[in-house]
Amino acid sequence: MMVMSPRVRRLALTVHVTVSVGWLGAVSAFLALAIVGLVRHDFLIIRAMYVAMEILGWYVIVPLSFATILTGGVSSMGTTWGLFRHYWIVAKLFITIPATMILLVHMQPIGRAAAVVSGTSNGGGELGGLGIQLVAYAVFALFALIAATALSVYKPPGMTRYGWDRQQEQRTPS
Amino acid sequence: MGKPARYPGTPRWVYAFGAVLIGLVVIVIARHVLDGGFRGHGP
Repeated sequence: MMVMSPRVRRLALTVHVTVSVGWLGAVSAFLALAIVGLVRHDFLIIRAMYVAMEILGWYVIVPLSFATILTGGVSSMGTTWGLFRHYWIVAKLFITIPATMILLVHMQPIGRAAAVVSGTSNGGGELGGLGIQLVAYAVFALFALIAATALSVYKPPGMTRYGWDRQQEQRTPS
Repeated sequence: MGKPARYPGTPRWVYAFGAVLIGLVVIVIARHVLDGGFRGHGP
């Protein structure tokens, strides 16, 4: 394993924290738009919200989710933390990778909602349960990302068997 | 030479986390099944 110098490690960590917290912030903004799109009855506002949600999704949330996985991988593999040595890092992987996959799958209904409101004069009515669905996705994503952030801050103890074995190997003089 | 240290085991919070994840997966699959999501959306 190549261990990064302290300067590079801090830079990698800064980028990782920036993009991952940015992802959380972008999802919060998405939730606000989804709620406004759901509760307001003014068609122009509804249309603006869903079009903004699609733009926010493709140009901010999706890139930040990939950047989070990439920078997280670089930060963990370039340090003694490793990617599969500590349970809290594995837990974060189990949050961010499925969250990104679910996000990509659900960008389709977001695009559909934007298309519906762009092509009709009564967008709110035609959206049906989609508006509620988008609010639910955003709330779920928000909780998942808060959990990932909390894991990074608290770093709950516990090494995987792989991590334990690697640690014992390093401690044993060859 | 001392005995090699024994692996201390998996902490409880990992099991709780795993249970929550499995619960979520079950809920998502159940929802899809109830909505007929896995039968496809034919013409």
